[in-house]
Amino acid sequence: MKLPTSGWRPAEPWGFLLIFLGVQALLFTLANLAPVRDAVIVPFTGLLALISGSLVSWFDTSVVASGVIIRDAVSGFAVRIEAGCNGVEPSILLIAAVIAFKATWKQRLIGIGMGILAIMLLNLVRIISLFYLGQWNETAFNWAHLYLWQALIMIDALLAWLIWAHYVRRSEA
Amino acid sequence: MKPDATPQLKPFLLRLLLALPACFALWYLAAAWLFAPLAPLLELILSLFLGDLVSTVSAEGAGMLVDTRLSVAGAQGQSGFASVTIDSLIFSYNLPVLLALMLATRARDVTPWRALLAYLLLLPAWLWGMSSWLIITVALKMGPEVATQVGYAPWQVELSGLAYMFGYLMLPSVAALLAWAWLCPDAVRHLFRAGPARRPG
Repeated sequence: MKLPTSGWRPAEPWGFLLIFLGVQALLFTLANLAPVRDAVIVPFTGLLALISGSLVSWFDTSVVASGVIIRDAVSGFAVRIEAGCNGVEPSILLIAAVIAFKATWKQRLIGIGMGILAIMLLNLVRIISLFYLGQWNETAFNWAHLYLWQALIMIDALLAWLIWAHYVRRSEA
Repeated sequence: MKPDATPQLKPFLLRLLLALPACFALWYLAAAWLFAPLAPLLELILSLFLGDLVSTVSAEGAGMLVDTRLSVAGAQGQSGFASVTIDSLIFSYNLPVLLALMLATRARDVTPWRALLAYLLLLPAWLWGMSSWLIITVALKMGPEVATQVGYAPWQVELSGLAYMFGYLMLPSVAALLAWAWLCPDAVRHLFRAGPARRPG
C-alpha cells in the first residue's frame, strides 16, 4: 500500500508558489483583456444577473433583471453587478491553487468544477442578499459589499481548495 | 506518541466562523491605529509615481487623506487643490481574515508578536491597493482637467487600471492566504493530510 503523502515536500512550497502566482497573473491579465472581457466576462456577468433576478422573482415578482442590472420595479432600487462581484477573481485564485497542487488532471478538473460551483452558488447568495440589504440600509449594504462578502467569498474559495486537496491526499493513501 | 494538536477541516471551519466576526469587529474598531503608520509610507510611494503633485498624506480615522497640488475648479468658479480620501478598509479586510485563519488553525500560536507580523506582512498589499487606487482616480476618474496635469500616457493609465484591479480584487486574498501559509506552515499542511492526524514520536 502506498504511504500517504503528508503535504508539501521540501522543494514543493516554492514550486507551488511559482505556479500559483504565475497561473493567477496569467488568468487575471487574460480576464482583463478587452476582447476577453467583452466576449466572456460581460456576458457571464449578465447571465449571473439573470439567474439572480430569476431566483428572486420566484418569491418577489417585482424584481426584474436587465443586462447586468437587477431592479425592483416598485421601489426603483437597482444593483449593477460589476467586476469583483461576479466571482471571477476568486475562481481564478482557486484554479491557480488547484493547478499548482500535485494531482492528476482528472482530479484537477473535478476540483476546478466543484470549486467554481461552490464559489458561484455563494456568489448568488451574496448578490441576492446585497440586493435586499441595499433596500433596507445603505451603511449595512456598503459594509457587507465592500468588506464582509469579499472576505466570505475568499474563505469559500479557500475551503473549496482545502477540501479538494484533502481528498486528493486521501486518495493517495 | 505525542498528541497531535493540529486541526482537521470540520473543527477548523467551525473555529473560523466563530473567530471571523470577532476579528472583523476588532479590525474595524482599531482601524485608526492600524492605518496611522501607513501615511508616510503611502506618501513616499505616491511621490515616486506622481512626483510633486502629492503634497501630504495623513491618516484620518479609517481613511487616508491625500492632499495634492492638482488644481481643480469649484462649482462657483473658484479654484483650489484637490484632496482625495482613500477608504483604507477596502484594501485591508484581509487582516481580520488572516487573524481568524490563524486563530482557527491553532489559537495558541497567535501571540501578539505573530499578530504584528501578520499586520506587517499585509502592509505591502494595502499600500499597493491604496496607491494604485489614488493613481487611477487622479489619472482617469477626476476628469480631463486633472488627468492633463498628471500627464500619464494612455498605456500608463491602462497599466495603472490593471494594477488597481489586481490590488483591489486579487491581492488582498493572495496576500492573506500566503501570509497564513507562511505563518502556520505545519498546521496548514496538516489541514489536508490524509486520514486522522498522525505524527511519529
